[in-house]
Amino acid sequence: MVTDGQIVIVGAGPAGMETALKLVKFGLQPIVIDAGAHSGGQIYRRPPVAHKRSYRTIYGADAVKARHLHDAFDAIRNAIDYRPNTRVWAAHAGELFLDGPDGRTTLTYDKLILCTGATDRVFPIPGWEAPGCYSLGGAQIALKSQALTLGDPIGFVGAGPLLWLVAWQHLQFGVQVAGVWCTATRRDLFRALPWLALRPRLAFRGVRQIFALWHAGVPVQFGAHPVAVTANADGPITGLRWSNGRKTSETPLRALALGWHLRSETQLSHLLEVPSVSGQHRPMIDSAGRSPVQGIYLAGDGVEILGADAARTGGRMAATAVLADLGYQQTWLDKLKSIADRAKHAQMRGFAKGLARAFPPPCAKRLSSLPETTIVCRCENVTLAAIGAVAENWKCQDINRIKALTRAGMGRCQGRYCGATLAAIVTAETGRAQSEIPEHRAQAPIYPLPFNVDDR
Amino acid sequence: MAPRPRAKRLGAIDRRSVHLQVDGIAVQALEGDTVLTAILLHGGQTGADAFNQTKQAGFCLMGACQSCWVWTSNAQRLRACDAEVKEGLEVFTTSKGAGW
Repeated sequence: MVTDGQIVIVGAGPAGMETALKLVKFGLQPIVIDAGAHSGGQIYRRPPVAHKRSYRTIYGADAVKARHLHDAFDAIRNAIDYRPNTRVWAAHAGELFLDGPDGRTTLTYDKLILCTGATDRVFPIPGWEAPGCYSLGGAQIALKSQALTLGDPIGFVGAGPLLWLVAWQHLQFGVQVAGVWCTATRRDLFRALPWLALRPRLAFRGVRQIFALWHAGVPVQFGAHPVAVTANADGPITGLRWSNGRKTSETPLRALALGWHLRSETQLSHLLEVPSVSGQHRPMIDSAGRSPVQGIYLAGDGVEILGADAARTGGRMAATAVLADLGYQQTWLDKLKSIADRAKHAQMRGFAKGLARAFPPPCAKRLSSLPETTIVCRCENVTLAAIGAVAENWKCQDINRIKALTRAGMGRCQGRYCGATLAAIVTAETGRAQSEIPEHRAQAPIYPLPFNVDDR
Repeated sequence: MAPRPRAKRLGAIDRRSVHLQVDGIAVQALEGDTVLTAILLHGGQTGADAFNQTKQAGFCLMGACQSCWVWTSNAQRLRACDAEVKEGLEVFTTSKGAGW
């Protein structure tokens, strides 16, 4: 007889949903904590109930996948303890601290599966603090979940699959796309082809999006450098000044979305002392999703950016590991499926490596040579000059020290949107590899908490 | 007068209307809109950042960047991007407006 104890899944995106689905199949009743109002996470984010748009309209080529996953999760709603609109704001071994509709509560766990997903990895462009600049993920959420474009015309700058996808989606909705400025070069893309060929259909979909944008007359630039976001004196942005190495020009815009791939949300795994893979800033897990910390498992983009399909196989693998650790016997069919999942996962890791090569982040030297007045930390208004001075004068090799001395990364986003830049500046200043720089330490509360005199 | 809004609806307009007030100005939104959507569609902006007083208009839309805070009439803070509009809701884009 096995005693299962309390199983808690944090996150209800593709990884969290798959984990729950598999556990329920074995008669377990996990608690699922979701910061969102509806399950689906960001990629399969559901629009508000009042919207009556088709899956095809919202999710395009992923419509069938989204529908299946939503339906499957809805079918197990009564078998699990699903808690939407609930955020985990702190954690220590065996206990989570929640903020949700019932106010602030705690929750103990015996097994914890972290499926915390990712947010956009952004880098500064001079002037990007003006209203009208958004993350790529933000522009996509506006489309999917609010049937809204943030501006018309809207421009897109950055590198990564999301850049092309979101620009293409805006085009599909009839929005005028003022331009797509990809900071990666065509050469980067070609050199990554052998890895991208691991998932030919997905790679082809990406190429088709680029081609469709170009064919629709959208100015598409590879190897572009965003120079500055221009804005009115009263605030909102008016355009993007960019260069392609030969000439500089300015394109008028009413909104700009930017992003260079994604970054994992690792705050909870850090607070729970899950060690990182040596030389890489990502939580350590074995091939099944177990962390070295007893009872903690991870899956999805929160541990490594591999995309939605890999989040699903990762979720199933983590559930399988939980079941195995609880002493459940797997049928031969389940074992076969697990082998297939692992093979698929390996293939997707190869593909992700290709994407990382095809769409590298802006180089550290370029970032640290931006104008000194460029705001790096949006929350605390910390400029590149302030950070550079600390890095140089104090011989700072640690972004946590920079945070202490400048307040960059200490604001309300908790370093989510400046951490990557801080790391790049330290690498440029010290000449050390990014992997040698200490990680940005997470601090609870990982989200700002409302503190009400009259508790809700 | 509010400037011409930058955001634009792309369908899904077959919804019930919801009425709210932003900084004391009546704003009509649709059921399922977020407070941020309602504000952006009326050419408004959210709270000023704490340092140079420039207005903000959201950034991540997924409740992570925390730059779209607004205040309710009972001095609670809301993330405009993940709070749905409600009939009769009153929000303020400055803490002063909320009576602080």
